[in-house]
Amino acid sequence: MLALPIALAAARSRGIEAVGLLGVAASPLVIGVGLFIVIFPVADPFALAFPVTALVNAVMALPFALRILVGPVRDVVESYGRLSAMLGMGGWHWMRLVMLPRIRGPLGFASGLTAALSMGDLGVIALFADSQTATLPLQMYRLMGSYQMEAASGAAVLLLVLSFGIFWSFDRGGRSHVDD
Amino acid sequence: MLTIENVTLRQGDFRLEADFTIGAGDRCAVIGPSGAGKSTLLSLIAGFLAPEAGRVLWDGRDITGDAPGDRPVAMLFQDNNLFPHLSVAENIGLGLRPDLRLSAEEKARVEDALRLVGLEGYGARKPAALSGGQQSRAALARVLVQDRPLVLLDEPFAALGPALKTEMLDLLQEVLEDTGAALLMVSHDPEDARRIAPLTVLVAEGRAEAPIATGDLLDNPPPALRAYLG
Repeated sequence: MLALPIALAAARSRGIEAVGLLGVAASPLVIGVGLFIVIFPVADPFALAFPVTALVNAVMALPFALRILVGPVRDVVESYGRLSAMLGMGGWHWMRLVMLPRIRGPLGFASGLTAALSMGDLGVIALFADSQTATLPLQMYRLMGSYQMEAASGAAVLLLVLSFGIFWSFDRGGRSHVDD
Repeated sequence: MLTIENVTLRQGDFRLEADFTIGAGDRCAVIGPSGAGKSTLLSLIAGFLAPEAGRVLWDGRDITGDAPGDRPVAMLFQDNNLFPHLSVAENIGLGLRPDLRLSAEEKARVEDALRLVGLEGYGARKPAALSGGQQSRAALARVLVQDRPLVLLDEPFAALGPALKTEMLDLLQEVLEDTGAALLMVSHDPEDARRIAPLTVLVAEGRAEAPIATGDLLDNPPPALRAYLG
């Protein structure tokens, strides 16, 4: 979701894609520590665990999502930009009727990849989570830490199946009903 | 009435000057050597390119700064005239409402347009399920429902065979008679100009000349046009 507006902007000027790469420059753990320090004085970091984890994972997945989306978005603008402008299509209607249907496939792939990456998050959540909340990898790590190897194996299988399933369903959603 | 008033357009080293008027309902071919700026002239009128100097007016109103969709213009391009993921009826409906929320009356107009171009019953199909000629018909149906007073054609029928192209030009003529629109049509074929356009704008050597009678121009071509026609 974060990647699409940036991809739209990048379709018009090439420098903008580099913005997305900034996320790779720092590890999620570093970004997480930074956010923890920023949030700690003003709010309870544990209460914000979920939004912060989602945000950091979105930033981490951004360069991959951008690499997938910028090309197709640029193609749509180049192929259909003039026709759309001549017909007076703009804003949301243009997104709904032209851009989103044209990039369904890559958008599904990017969403699937982002979801799979986020499923495996261990960096941020380790800082923000209290003992009740965790991501599956963190829970797995905790189980291993308490020598509950069989439970950890179960969690690992669950993680594998969920990650793959989520990726598959997003990617599949983008590919079905494509006819052009 | 379209007035192009002392317009200069520059793209890098390329420069095009134009200063002429086209009356309501006039049909003009736009002829000239490759790279002379025929498409550029149409892009200027459609609002995709801004002039460096001069004004574009419609019935005396300055439209130089208007967005393409706000101009009294319907245009067909060399390719990508239909959205492949939308049905033929939806593609035509976009000429009525850019958000595609059509009223029952507007849907009926789309059906009428389909019938007029000979595509009755094809509305639910996707463009890919149509032949090249049928796709051109669908695009012309959209021009028909757009009902703008000026139609710009940037060689949309160039990929069709000669017989099919003649068929499209005849259909275009019907559409123009229906809407009373003026026409500016880029063409590489002088016969197209003779067939459909009583007037011709010659674009050569960085200038778009005022329209003159097509027959006279083709029978006594100036040197730049003679070199091009061979």
